[in-house]
Amino acid sequence: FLEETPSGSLPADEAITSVTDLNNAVNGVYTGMIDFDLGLGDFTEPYSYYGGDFIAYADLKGGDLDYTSSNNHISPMARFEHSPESNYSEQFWQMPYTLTGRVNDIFSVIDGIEVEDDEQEQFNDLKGQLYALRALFHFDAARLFAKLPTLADMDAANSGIPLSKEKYHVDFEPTRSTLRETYDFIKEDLNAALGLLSEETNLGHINYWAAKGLLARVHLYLGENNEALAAAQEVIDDSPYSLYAIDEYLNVWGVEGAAELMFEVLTNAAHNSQRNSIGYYTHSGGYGECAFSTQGYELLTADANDIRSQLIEWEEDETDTKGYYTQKYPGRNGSLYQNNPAVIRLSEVYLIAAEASVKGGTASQGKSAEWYINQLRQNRISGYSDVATVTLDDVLTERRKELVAEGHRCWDAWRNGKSIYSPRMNREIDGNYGRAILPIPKRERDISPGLTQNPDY
Amino acid sequence: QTKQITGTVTSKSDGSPIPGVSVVVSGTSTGTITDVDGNFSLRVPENETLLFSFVGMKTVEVPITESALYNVAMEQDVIGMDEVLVVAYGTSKRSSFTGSAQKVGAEELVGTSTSESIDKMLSGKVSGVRVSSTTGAPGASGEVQIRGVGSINASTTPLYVIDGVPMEIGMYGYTGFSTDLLSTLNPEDVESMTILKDAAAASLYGSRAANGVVLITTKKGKSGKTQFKFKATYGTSETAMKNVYQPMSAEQYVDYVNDALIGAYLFWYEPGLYPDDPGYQDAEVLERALQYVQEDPDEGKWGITSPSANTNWRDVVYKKGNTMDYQFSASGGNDKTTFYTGVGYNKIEGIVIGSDFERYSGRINLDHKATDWLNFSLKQMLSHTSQNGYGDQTDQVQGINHMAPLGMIFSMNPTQPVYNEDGTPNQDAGMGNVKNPLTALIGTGERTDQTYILERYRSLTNASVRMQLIPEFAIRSNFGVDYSDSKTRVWWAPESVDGEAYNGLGDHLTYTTVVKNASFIGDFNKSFGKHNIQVFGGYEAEGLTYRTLQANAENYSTYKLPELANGQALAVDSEVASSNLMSFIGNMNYNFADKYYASASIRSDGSSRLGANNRWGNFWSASAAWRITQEEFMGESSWLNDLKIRASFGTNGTLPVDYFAHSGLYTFSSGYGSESAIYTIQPDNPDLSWEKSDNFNVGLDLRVFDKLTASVEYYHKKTRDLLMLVPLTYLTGFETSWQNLGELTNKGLEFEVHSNNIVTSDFRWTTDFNLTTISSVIDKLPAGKDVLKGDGGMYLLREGEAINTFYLPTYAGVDPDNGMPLFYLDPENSDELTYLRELAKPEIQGKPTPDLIGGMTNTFVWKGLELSFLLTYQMGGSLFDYPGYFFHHDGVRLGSMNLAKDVENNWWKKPGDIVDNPRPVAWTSDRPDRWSSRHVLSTDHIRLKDIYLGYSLPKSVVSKMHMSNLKVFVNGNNIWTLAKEDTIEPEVTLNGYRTVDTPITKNFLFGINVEF
Repeated sequence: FLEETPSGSLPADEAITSVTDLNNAVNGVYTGMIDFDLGLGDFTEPYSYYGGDFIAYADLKGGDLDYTSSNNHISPMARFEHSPESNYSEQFWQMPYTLTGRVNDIFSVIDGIEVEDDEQEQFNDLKGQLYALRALFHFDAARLFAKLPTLADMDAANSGIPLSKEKYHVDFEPTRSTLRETYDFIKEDLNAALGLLSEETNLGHINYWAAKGLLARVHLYLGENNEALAAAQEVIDDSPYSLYAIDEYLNVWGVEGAAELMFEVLTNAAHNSQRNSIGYYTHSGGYGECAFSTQGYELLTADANDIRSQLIEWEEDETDTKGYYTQKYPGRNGSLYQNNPAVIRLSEVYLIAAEASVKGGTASQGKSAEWYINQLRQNRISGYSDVATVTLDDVLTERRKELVAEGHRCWDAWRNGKSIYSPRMNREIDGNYGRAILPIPKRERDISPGLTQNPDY
Repeated sequence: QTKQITGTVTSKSDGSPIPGVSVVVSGTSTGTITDVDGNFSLRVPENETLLFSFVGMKTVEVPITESALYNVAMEQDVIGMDEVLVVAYGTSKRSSFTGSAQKVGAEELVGTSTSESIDKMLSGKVSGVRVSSTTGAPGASGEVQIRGVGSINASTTPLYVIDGVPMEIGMYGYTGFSTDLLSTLNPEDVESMTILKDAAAASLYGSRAANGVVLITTKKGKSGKTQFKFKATYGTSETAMKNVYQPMSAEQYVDYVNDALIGAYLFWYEPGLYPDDPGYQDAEVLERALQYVQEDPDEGKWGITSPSANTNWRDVVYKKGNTMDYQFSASGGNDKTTFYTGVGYNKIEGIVIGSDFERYSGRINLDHKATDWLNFSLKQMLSHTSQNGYGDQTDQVQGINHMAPLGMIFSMNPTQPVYNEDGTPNQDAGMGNVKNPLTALIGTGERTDQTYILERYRSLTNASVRMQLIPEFAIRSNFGVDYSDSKTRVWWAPESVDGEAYNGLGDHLTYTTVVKNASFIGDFNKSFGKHNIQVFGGYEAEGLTYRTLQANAENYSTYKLPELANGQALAVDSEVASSNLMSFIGNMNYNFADKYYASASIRSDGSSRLGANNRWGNFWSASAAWRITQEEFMGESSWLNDLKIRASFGTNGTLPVDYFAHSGLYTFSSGYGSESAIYTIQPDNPDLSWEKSDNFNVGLDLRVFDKLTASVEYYHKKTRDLLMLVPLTYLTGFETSWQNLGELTNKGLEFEVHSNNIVTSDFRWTTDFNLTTISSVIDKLPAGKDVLKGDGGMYLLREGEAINTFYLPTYAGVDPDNGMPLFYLDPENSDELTYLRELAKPEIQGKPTPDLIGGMTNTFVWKGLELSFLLTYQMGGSLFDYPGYFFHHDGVRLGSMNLAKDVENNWWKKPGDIVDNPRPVAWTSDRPDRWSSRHVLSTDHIRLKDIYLGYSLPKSVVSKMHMSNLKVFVNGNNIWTLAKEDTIEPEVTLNGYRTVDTPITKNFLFGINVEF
């Protein structure tokens, strides 16, 4: 009579006992990336991670996208408008760390799971996914809340972010690590993942190749060009993914499991970021907070032979949101909410290889920067003739064109010591600008006084 | 051995018969009530005492002798120190009651309100009880708080018990559109309410009693002639205070926009606002700013080039509402069976266009005396309410809901007309998504409809039986079933403001609650010599189940048919949860010669809501009273009629709100791709326990000169093991966890005075006055650390400070030189000022709980005329004006929000201006408008809560019309308010957070009351 349990949930110790349960629990981490629901029964949580806000962040700060109408969902990022008390800093902190908490909660019971002999491989793969996810969340938090490695003293106290390594007691008070410790932890987790992950394609889940690609990206951020090139090259040589061809380029968006997609997060009618989804931001019929800025539009449309110039349309569903919009997020099933965000896809791996190479990186099987860029452009530009040399700026420009609206721009510029032009701020902004990174949320510092605030806040 | 007796009760003063006098065999529930002619008949045991009691009369005790006829003359009392009180699991005489309880009878409740909700009727009538009407939405309940704030995070509302059975209350419905279950009760059916305040009165309700208990007793029939009553009331309503939420006029707005755009130029293009800006006070820069404004960067979007109208949108959204209420009842019976039946209809059209509330209710109460030793009763209430409204804002929700009516008033452009020249609503009137409130708020079956409907069914069943096995011992049993079903239907048509994104959204949400309660109690009564002992003990079990079912659909093929099948299925959800309670209770009352009294009670509760390590708890009380005037040494005093001192101590508790707060849980409701997804949503705590409070109460009751009764009480309530939702670092994966940490003390003094100032045969003037002081202070917090809670951490919980203290930066006004806002940089430590709000540290800015509350009722009766008025007052509290934050936006929301009227001619324009609002800067990212002491306003006020003027036709006239009574009356609520701040409604929720909702109303009613 006095033992009651709810109808919709189970105590933690009963929730994960089999590999099937583990699979569902790993799914519970993925789904948080696009449907950040805390289980509070809310119809929808007011913000999103990979579903929209995190992707829009880097492009709005990067200046190639800009808002038409400001509903103040994510558009304040274009104005670098955030403070320790604002929702933005808290949400961008809350999402990766909450999901890391989910990962650590699963790790705390993972050894008690009964694994049948024929499940061992799946078990290892799931465990590998958890490591890779934890690395990705730390990498994202580091990019948001700490200086980029190439711009900072990696060993300075409090230069990194707090590391979330295990399940913590409710009175835990985190402190910041150094930037070196942060990135070492990220690499450690990715390497642990690589030892466990399956090489099979696995829609909506991280596999060996996705983890390898992410590792290449991390090395690139660290200026570890040899390692970046080696990892990227392995993906290019051995993975089952292939570059989109020109004639298919306009039709791969809004398609699940397209040829380049190494890791996309799945959305569907029930689980998506609703009005805070990237599709709703990038259309005039939605919030219209992520249209092309003039510079972004001009860059993408400079070459009419470039198929990417055709992935843009003038939209005026609403007068106050009219503008040029990317068509990378056309929605599925008639819903702008349903777009699977790409966490990593093959084009980026080519661009990582090119950048690492142009910066002097070498690796066995490694090619020249021109080779990677030519490969990519042959698949993007009709009548393209190979170039003989490329510069770092060429690679970065190619990144802007290929990866626009996929959440990279500001970091690509800043980590290379370049600045971006922000149309809203009407000035050049480099990675040392105080607001290039977010403040540690006030809430978190109230709980953990030892958590040092970023400078300029 | 029993026998039949009869008798007549008359008034000693004029010999007229008194109907409705309670005639009870002392110490039992055997009894009846005199009929309209003052007659009664009753079967009584021998050698017992008959008690005659009636409100306003002194209780008369008559020993039962061999006689069969008992005619009694009753003497008028001032306030009936010896009335019979309904108390926990029984009744008690006022004189022998050792705890703190206050009764409010039907005559004080009905006829002095809008018949909307019973809790609102308590306002100002009982010391220690604070009632706030929080919103003017039709059907909205108040919030009742007894003796301060009992908890920080668990419930602060009292337990409601109706006819002996705990009753479910609470908001079941759709976020932003819901009313409390209390609104399903028809106030007309209520005979009396008793407020149990201290441990002696309330501890028998154990784990649910820490916030006090409200006992509701419904009407009973009286044997004799069947009595019919008919009452009709009609009235109108409007906002109680006319200056609340007035928007800026068009002319001022245009001026403000101009200045804000100049500010924007100086902020965004050529910085010149602050002293260290390069363009500061540079005439050329200012010239260019003026030019920028003249170029009209947004093509007159804000009406700055062509103001065509001056619309006060408040007058469009808020109209005059109206109320109608019809009540019909019949009651009567014979010696064995009595009945009360009543039906009521109440309809309110709210002041917001398109909002209304309707209630149909019926009740039948049957009491039957089967034999001398067996009584049983059945009480049944059925009601249906329906409510149309809008999506209002709920507490601590970020942002202003553009569909909230109040939000609309301010998001409309004052320079735009309401209608086009052709008479259709102007669809360019809005600055945001809502184009015109007329289209947005009124459902007319159009493609732009956005409607909210809440329908409720409620059934309250209560069956009880009592068996007097031997004269000293009886057993009684009570069964209650409380069923409520709340169905919300939300419809956002495909082209409505919020529905557009979904191409139509239909959302149906059903909450069903079923509470089953059973109790078995044994009563023992014995008197020997001057010793009287009364003991009872028993067992009670209660199970509550709630079930939700939600389904919604989007992408509608037509706007004409809102049913879900006409859209594409979106989501379904269902949940069931139960909370059970098992209890043992015991109580003992002892009195010696009606001079010394002692009582003790104990209750042991086991609850499913608690952690396995702390599931059972014991709650007890001990109390005593001494009636000094009964002592012989006091002699016969000519002026001191009664003097009693009483004291009590005891414990009670509060359960967690959440049924499963103690378990670490994984939710299974989610999915990923085509697979299931599970994840952890809360950490576990097997030690989670009740909040426990220790209550001390001491009181003195006094009656003097046969005309004045007064009581003074001091209470001290210390609550330990407070349930705190402790914020966690997100690295744990959780936002918060429930822990039993913290202590809190509520203490205060209560005074009540009831005075018969003048009583003559045809004139009476009485005054009831009460005053309560409240202090709610936090004693202990987790690790002694301050806790910031609420939206943005606006509340400070700090040891030694009042609960829910507002904690915000201090606004120091406007710098007269440049119009920029000033804030204290570190107000707790220095006088240094800063222009930037975000650099300013917070300090304590008042608290929501007032220091002093109370009320005063004066009643004048002259022949058939009756005039009474109730003044309520409160002092020393503050509120946080959340809507005001949007309406004093300093230019930040330019183009999406108008400003409050008090900004008119009250913003900085030129050096030297001494004003309250800074120079407006459109879209400034410095955000001077963010929360500060600017948004904390005093709630001090005096309010004419109720005024009533009635006229009863003379009996001689009425009887010719075959009636027993005919009365016409006019009545007003909230007619007049004297408030320190007249631009904000001072009655606010207990946490002082003024939400974006509809201000409460003043009502003018007239009605007629017929009895025959």
